[in-house]
Amino acid sequence: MSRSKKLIRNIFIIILLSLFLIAWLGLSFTPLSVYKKVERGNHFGPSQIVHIEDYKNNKFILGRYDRWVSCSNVRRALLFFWAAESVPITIENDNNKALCYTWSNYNPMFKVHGVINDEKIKKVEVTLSNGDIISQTEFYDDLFLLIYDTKIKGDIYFDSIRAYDGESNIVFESEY
Amino acid sequence: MLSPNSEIFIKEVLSYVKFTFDRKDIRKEFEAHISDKIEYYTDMGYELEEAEQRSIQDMGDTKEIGTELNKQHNPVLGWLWRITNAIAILLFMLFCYIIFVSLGLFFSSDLLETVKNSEIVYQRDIDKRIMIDDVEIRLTNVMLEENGDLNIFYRYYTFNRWGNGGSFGYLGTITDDQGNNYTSLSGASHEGIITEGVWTITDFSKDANTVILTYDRYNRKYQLEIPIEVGGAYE
Amino acid sequence: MEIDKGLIGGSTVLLLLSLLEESDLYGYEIIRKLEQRSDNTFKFKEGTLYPVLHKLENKGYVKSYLLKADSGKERKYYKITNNGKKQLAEEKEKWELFSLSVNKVIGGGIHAFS
Repeated sequence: MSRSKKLIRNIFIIILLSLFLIAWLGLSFTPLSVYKKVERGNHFGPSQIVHIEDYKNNKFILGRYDRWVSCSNVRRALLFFWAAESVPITIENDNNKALCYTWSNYNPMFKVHGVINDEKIKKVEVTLSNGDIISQTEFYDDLFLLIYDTKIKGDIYFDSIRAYDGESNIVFESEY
Repeated sequence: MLSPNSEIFIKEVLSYVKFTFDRKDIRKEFEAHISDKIEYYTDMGYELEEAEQRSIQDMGDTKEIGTELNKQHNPVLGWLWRITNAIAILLFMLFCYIIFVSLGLFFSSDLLETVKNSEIVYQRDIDKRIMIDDVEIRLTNVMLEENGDLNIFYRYYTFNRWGNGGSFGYLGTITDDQGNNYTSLSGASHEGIITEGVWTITDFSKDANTVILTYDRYNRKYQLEIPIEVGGAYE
Repeated sequence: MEIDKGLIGGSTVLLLLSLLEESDLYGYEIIRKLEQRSDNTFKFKEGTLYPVLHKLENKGYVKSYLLKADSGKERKYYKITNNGKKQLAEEKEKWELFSLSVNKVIGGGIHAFS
């Protein structure tokens, strides 16, 4: 076999084995295909995607499935591919509560997400353990998502949450 | 070639060949040829020195030979070939390792042996299946130990790399036919497509005859009953 | 009559492939055979054979392998491939057409003036 033919054969082998490796590692070519696999593998969903937020190398995908609201994130892997970064973090909605939420901390990101049941709520505000306050006034349908960059590993926790109406009256508050 | 003049000739020819990795083979080819020609002349009766001089002369012009030879040993192609060779070999070794480990798990895994740490009161092969999303979990064996540990061995295959392991750590609620509640520990080894594991339920009641697994999460449900016929049936 | 040729040109491929079709040969053998067969008409600058052989191998017309002689000397032999055989047939055809045409031109001229 001439050298150029050997080169072509080598390239072919490399492509084949690379595809195998990618499949083996569970990497996908798009963030959404990984997301679907993560849901299926964790026996949740399939969710309807309400909002996708880009954050650093990650995409946070906010969705709802039946009476649950979930948020999971996927991240870029090996430059071109996508891998799962977390399992779906879910919260079951209780319509009797003005607001249902859950939070999680995976360095270097901290997030809170949930569903707003009371239409009066115009602003959601979360206080963190270090005193910082993050808030959101523009929601995704009736879902909200807040992401915070924790530069110090692991030191940020949830402190309390407050929801205000249009006249800055507190409609809902809770400590976890 | 051993003689200095032949060496000079060959070295000069090789100096035009830019892809150095091919030089060794070319050298050998020329050395063999020149030595054959020298033999030809010495057989004719020439002295060694004269034979060598004639042989080298017969070979031709080093620049002409060298530049033409270089055209056939393209360094770009040569480097690409070497690099892709190395990458292909690396990937192939990785591939073999993955296959080997997967098969190793498939053939030699015997969790039954590793879990035994006390007297076995009861053991039975079972073939119960749980279907959840598109994964089928096969429960293969139950083993009740003297210390009250009830072990349920399972296996499943899936191409989905995400989740699974974690979610199968959660069995659902565990009860028995007497109405007792239990918690469980899980130990498993995953190797890509194949996962073998065991759920261990501690302090299983000596009076119970059936263990019931009830799973209800995110609209996925199953209920499974596994009879544990103890009390007299010692194995 | 001696034609001093460098081996880089024209009908070289035809010559080499037809020798190799008969048997596997190594470089030195090829030179000797060319001389013998052509009654020494073709005397070559011997080193110029190798770029051609390597080119034939790059094109896939021949394949090389190493063989150790009884004397312990290791030589690189060249063997014609199936592609090489096809190419040889093509070269033979081209050569026959060429020599036929040349003869026509030369022969035709003589006839015209006879």
